[in-house]
Amino acid sequence: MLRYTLIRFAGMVGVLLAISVLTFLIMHSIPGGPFDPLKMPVSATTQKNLDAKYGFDRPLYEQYVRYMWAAVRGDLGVPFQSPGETVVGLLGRTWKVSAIIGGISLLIAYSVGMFLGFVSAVRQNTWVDHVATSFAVLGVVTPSFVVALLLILVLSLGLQLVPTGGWGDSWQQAIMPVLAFSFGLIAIVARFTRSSVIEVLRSDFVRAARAKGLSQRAVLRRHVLRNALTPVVTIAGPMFAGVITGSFFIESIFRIPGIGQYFTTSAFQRDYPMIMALTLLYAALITVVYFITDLVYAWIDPRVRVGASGTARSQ
Amino acid sequence: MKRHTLTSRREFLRLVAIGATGSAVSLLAAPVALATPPRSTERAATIALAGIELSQSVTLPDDAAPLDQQVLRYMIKEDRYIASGIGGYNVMWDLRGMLFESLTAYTNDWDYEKGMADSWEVSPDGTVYTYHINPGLTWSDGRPITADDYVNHYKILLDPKNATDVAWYFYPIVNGEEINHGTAEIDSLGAKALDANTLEVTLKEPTPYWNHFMAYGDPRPYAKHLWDQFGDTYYTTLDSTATSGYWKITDWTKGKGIVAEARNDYKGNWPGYLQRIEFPFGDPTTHFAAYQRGETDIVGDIPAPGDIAAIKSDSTLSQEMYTWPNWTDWYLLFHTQDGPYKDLRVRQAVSHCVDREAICNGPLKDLGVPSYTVIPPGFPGNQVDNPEMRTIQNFDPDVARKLLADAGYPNGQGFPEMDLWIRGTGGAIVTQQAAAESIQAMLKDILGIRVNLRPEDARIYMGALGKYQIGITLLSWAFDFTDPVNMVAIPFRSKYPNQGGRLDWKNDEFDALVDRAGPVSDIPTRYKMFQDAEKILLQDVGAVTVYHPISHQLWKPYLKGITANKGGITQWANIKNQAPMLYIANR
Repeated sequence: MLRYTLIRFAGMVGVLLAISVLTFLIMHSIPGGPFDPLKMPVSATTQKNLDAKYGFDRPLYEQYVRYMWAAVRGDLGVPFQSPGETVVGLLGRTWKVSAIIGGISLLIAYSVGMFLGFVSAVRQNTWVDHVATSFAVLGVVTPSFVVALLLILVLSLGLQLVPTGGWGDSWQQAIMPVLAFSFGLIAIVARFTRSSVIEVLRSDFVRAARAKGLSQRAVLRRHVLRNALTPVVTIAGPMFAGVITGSFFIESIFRIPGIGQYFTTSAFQRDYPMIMALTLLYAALITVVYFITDLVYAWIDPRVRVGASGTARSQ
Repeated sequence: MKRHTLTSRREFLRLVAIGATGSAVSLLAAPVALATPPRSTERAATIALAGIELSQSVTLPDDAAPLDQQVLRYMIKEDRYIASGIGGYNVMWDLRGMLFESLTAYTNDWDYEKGMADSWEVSPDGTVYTYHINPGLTWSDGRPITADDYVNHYKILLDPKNATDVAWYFYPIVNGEEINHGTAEIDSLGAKALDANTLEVTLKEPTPYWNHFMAYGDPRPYAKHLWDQFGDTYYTTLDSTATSGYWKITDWTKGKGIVAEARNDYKGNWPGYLQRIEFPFGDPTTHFAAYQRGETDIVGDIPAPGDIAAIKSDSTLSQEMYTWPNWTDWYLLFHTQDGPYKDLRVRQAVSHCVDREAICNGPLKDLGVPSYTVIPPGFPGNQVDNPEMRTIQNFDPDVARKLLADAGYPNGQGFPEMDLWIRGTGGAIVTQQAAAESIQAMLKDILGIRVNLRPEDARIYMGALGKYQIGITLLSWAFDFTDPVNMVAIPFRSKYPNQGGRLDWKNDEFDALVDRAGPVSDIPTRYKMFQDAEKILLQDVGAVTVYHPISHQLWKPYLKGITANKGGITQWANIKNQAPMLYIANR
């Protein structure tokens, strides 16, 4: 297990390095810089001084090395969008907000989604299945910002139950963002669960269990549920990384001071320190959750063992 | 064998029925609720003022609510800086306008009066301005405001080491431009502190608009001692901020908002009535919903046409909306040094094929008014009522086609297909997108000229514009201060072939005229000269004006202090000296 962990960690470092190089190159290849003027051009002398101040006049490889050397010592720089704080400080205060909303949304998505998917699969091709499937399709095709606006219209302006947005004043401010965020996630989890349960229900060991006289409830609980979890767990990893890094639309519409908006604004504003930090953060998250997912596989399915080569595979 | 189920059909049906009924009720409630939005005379809650010292020396108007209810909520877009200048265009404008004073202050009628300066003198030759700053003024941290703060501010903006694209405003100061280009020492700037409360500014030539400009946003000074301590991160956090006006910032939570409270130590010329101003942060597209819910008392700009339509159709909200043609031009610019638009006849053809009335009565209905001049209606020095101005760019498809044919492109044959550049992607400015699409259609239908709309990232766009690489574009210019030089000379006086201008159109007669008009202090003469320059610009088609956007604002009926100006327009403008007049009235 230790060897497996070390191998995976080394792989993660390699992936992050590769992503950092790629991101750095792409970032600097896009026309326009962070201090390009928006109304009138600056003087040539000013532009030259700015380039010198931020190191943009140095060769790219030197800029990269300087950045990475500082980054490994915990200094991710100062965001151009918020010069009064560090990148680490900004990530710290925004990420926890996104993580709260994303975490709650994920919990709801999995609990409600798995229930819907399970019931739908057990009552396959009945009206229960059709209703649940319709809901799932609606959840997948409806953009989150449409759901968000509808929620504002109904819950906030119509029923006056919750504020239109904001964060930090009351727990009610979390209701609409969580609902908007989880709506689509519920649908995805429900669909995956349904497919997986249907497949397991058709397997030989389930037939055998029934033939032995086990009740439907016992078959579902002891044999179907656990075996159907693998695909659902598979999507949990990237879904987790996606939700706890927030959503640009949800955060803008509900005025949530989360990290999601910065994925978009950093690109538009050429905020190089933030672009690098967010990309590396997301990449690190993905690699860590994939690692945890592999461990969970091994726990769910005893046939899966963590191999000496550093991968989880079926035996 | 009996099938066991996890849940009975009856139970499931009951749950679904409850859910469906609840959803239906909610959906039905929504349009009803919108038809009767929250009564604007009610405030969402009385805002607690515990813990702040109320300014007991305030004498409120007769209809004002008690002092502890003098609280305004004003939702704004969060940005990097409170300070302008160093922040370029990444500034929280409304907050800057309300919390920082200027040497002179814009009146409701767009004249200027005393601000931080009690008085001033102008030398007989019009080049030396001497300001006497109110000696009682202090920053909100208690340090005195002195002439050094002003000098330091101008130097910061002109210093080529700093990232600011507003330095050009200060080029009229002796050595200002030279300093910014790195050819003069910073201490040679023609701005000096004669003593703690006397500021002397020496200009290169008579600049009659200078006191107008002093009332604008970017000349408002910021604390030198904060610059010395924090450098270019000053005014980015609570600790690095000190205001100059009646309100001080007492809370600044990134991502959430800023709170400002009345100062009991304010000794300036413009105390206010409001005791507390809360600036919650939010994207401008969310402000209207927040207004309906009582979470903001004022909406400075309504960007979405759908919201405007909803407001107009509501009997209560429509009474709370204020509109006026903004002092902003939207116009077409061309690459004129080579290519098809080098030919004046081609540019004239485009000018006569744009049906401004149709655009403003169609896709821009209630969003824009037709523009036949670059000096907008109501702006000092405008000649909107001069019938000659209409004929220069009148819509006449037959004339347009003839001109294009005479230029060698009958029905657009042989005319190269080009991109019509638009600054910004995502259709963020709705009027721009709609106008561009209309112009695209008109060019094709009337002249046979094909253009492809090209929304471009703002930075890439500005880079190309400054290098004169754009063939044809729809662009805007908004006023900064109320003098025609701001609408005519600054955007159109040629810099070509040097980089950094907006257009490569060059007309020596126009350039000479605006250069001569600049120092003229006699107002009628000055205005006439700029009007003549405006005619040259439009006759030579340096630009094709299209429309002026209409501003839409909302504020609650209990918010008083914003009154109609002599032009009959009731507007909230963050650079006008309106904040001290605001108060919350009794219901």
